[in-house]
Amino acid sequence: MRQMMKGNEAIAEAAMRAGCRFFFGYPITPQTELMEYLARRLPEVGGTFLQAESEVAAINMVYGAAGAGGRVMTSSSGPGICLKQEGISFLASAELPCLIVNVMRGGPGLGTIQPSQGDYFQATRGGGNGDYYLPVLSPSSVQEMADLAYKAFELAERYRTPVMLLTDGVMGQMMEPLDFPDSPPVPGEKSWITDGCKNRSRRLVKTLYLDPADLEAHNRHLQEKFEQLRASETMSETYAADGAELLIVAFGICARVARTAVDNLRAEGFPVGLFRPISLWPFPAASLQNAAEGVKSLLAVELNAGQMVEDVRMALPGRKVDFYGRMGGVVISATEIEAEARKVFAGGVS
Amino acid sequence: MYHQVLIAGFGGQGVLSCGQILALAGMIENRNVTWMPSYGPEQRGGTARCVVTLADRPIGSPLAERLSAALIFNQPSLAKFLPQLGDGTLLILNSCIVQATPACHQHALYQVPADTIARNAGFARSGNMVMLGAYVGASGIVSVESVHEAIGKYLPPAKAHLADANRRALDAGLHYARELKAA
Repeated sequence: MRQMMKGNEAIAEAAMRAGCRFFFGYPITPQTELMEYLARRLPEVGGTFLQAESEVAAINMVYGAAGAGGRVMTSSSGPGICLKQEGISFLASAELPCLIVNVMRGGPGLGTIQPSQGDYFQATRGGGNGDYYLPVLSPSSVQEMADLAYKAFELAERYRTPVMLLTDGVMGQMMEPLDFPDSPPVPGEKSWITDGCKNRSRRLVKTLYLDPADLEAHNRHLQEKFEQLRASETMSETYAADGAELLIVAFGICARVARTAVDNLRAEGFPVGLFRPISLWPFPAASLQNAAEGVKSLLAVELNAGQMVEDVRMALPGRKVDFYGRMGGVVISATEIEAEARKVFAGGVS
Repeated sequence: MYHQVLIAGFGGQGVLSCGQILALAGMIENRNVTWMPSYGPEQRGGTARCVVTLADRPIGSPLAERLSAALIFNQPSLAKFLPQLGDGTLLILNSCIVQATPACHQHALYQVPADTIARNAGFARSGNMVMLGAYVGASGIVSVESVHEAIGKYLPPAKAHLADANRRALDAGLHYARELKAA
């Protein structure tokens, strides 16, 4: 049944339908509706909702629940996600599946509660200490908030890794109709959980390896997993890319706004298309290379000072990629993107 | 069809619910819809606003880009948003507390005494539905039946008994706007 929900609520309901039964978190705007929703709903299905004393406590509760085999999640916004980084690094090393939601707001520091995409680097480069990545998915509609919450649990359990849903204040607060996907992700085999070792040998969930050779072997194992994710788990979408001379690259809310700009520019006769990475890590470099073939100019648009644009430039060595961004909680308008695009065309497409 | 409406007023006037009910009516008619609130450290008596977009094609930006209508519930909202409206925008004012300025007349202006009409319709707190009714009457953007259904969907079970009072207020606003339109 089609229903209308806020993005934050859609993630919460989808996570529950996907079998998540544990939530540990600490309130922060603009993700509060997500917690509020689960505080009401999780107990109805026999789940556990716990507002922890801090973000640090919450992420370590996630570690504990995941280690014991529970399907578990947490959510926060930039300042809270910073506090969780120690735990996220531990989860990555201990290979514990879970969903972490970051509804981004403007930073650095406490910044503002208004929307931003300033945590792209933090999310896609690991964020905590040590050599690790985690899959990062970026929804661009309320429907995708739900779809990608399912996908996140599936990836988390298949690859034994924390997965992040990276979204922002606009996506979290806006309402749109959606349908919930039918089949919840099948639980992965959990032959590693620490749920009591009566009648079987002891298992260990840990991140401390005092022998450098052991730790290097563990790191090599993690790196193989990251390679596998890079090879098979990229997601992206193009819009009006056929015959485009200018390709705009944008994710999340910016991709929505850019879509309006593309429609308006196309109506004026400008050949403009859009490439939208859905998985931010692994970055869909090969798909972008395909989409950029035959395109004369590229313009990355973000709500930050230029973060994803570095991945775009790495995917397209030697190509000139322009950038337009706003910061501090200011959201880009379609009019602004159109003006930037016209500048590119006026300058002669390079 | 691509239609964006701004709804703005004080917190407590039902501005956000007015927008949600409109969005629900759009959903019932199988349109693409988005509802985008302003959010911030705001409370009852502070400012409240939302933008609803209704379209036949997939909606890009859910933010105010090209407004085709504005429902203005209080004076500060008029001062703030009037300069952002393109000429000829459908402009509906709650004339019980909003005084039209000369610039308002560049637009398709409807002055609707929403609070008075709501009181006369028997439910003083339904001024937001009068405004929504006036908007539906002036624009025909969704059918009144869809809005009636949306009101039922919107109200939680504990408030279901308020549905008919809200529908009456909606109808009263609709008739008021149709009469203004015919005049």
